[in-house]
Amino acid sequence: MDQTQQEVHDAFEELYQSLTEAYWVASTITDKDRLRGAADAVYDIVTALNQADIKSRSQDYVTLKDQVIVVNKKLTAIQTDIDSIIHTMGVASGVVQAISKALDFGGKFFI
Amino acid sequence: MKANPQPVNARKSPMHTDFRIRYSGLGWILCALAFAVGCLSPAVHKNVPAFASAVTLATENTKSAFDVVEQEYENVQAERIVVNYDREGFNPNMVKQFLGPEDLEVRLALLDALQHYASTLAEVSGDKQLDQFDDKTRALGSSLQSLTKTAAFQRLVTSSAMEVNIAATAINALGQWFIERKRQQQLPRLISDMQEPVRRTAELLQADIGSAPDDHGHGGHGLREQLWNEYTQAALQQVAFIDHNKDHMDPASKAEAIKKLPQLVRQRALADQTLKQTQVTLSKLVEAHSALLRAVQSKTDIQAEFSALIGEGQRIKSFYDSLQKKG
Repeated sequence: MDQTQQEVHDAFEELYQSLTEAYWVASTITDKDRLRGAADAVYDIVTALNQADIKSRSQDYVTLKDQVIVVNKKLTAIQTDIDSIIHTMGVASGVVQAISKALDFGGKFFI
Repeated sequence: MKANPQPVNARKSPMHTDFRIRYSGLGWILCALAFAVGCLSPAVHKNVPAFASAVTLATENTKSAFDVVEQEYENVQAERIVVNYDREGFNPNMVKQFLGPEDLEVRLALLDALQHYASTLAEVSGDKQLDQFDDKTRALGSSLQSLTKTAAFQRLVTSSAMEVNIAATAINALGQWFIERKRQQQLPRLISDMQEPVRRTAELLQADIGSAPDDHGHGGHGLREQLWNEYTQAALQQVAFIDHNKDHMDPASKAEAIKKLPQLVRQRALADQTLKQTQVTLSKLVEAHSALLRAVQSKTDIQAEFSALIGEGQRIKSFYDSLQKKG
């Protein structure tokens, strides 16, 4: 939030605090209702300023998310490469087992 | 006097000793090869879980921060409708959300992507894949052992159990070398690339959370100011409700309604502290990620290198021993 925006923000927040302080010390219900009505309206303005401030950063989040996704894809690629090394070892083990079985059966029939 | 003939095993012994010396030498060469490429510093193993925890904590806290502001915003709306009902009635347009779903969605999507990054990083840099590789190589060793025991194979080739174990150990060391090389080459760059997005994410979320106003109403913005005002509004509506209904309330209900006022003041301070703490956890997230980069880039000192060498040697030794027991 830049300085001008913060100054606008501060002006309304200061007004809101003045109105609520006045509300606590007001003695009649009529005065209190009038002050509360004004405080409600200023609360809505400050809320709108906060909403606008938060919304103003939403596009930055989208850009950042895209950057993180690119890195995640690279990380997943490393993980897949390592998994394939492990998988190759599993395949080699399976092949040796198959050879062992084949030799066993071959021995029974041909030797 | 005729010397007793040596048992067959004893006659084989010198050859086996020769094998042992030659092939254990090979094992150590492979071990040294693996060490020359380097393995991830032990600090990385310590820092990755710390970073993953920091991401989880920051994600949960940030989601809660938005949730609590939204919830209190709804409460204040409902209280205003109750207090003003006799004068204004009800209109569905009075019901609004503080933050649109699309604005919340983009924030949660980024936090989810960060969590995915942390969990994948933990998997890639952890020992789980190395352990899986050990298991697969061990299975290969067992298969080779079974193969050498078949009568047909024994007629074709002569191969001792020890040779098979040494071969399996050598394959294991080479595989570990490939895995470590891949991690060592690529992880530092990726973690370095992520420094700026992680720092910027924390900055944006900290800006969203903002700060509470001071006693003069200055310096406030974001979720903290919003939540501060929401609690003030809640107290305001509560007082108005009591003022308008005190003559019709029984003493117990009136006491309950009044008791709620100091609770709201305390809750306001507590809620603000919680949001402030969330900003601290976001700073810790950036620190944890910086520490991770330092760990992954750091050259371990001599002591640590020596420990790593011993560790790697012990790992290969225990792997070799596990084959001996099976064979």
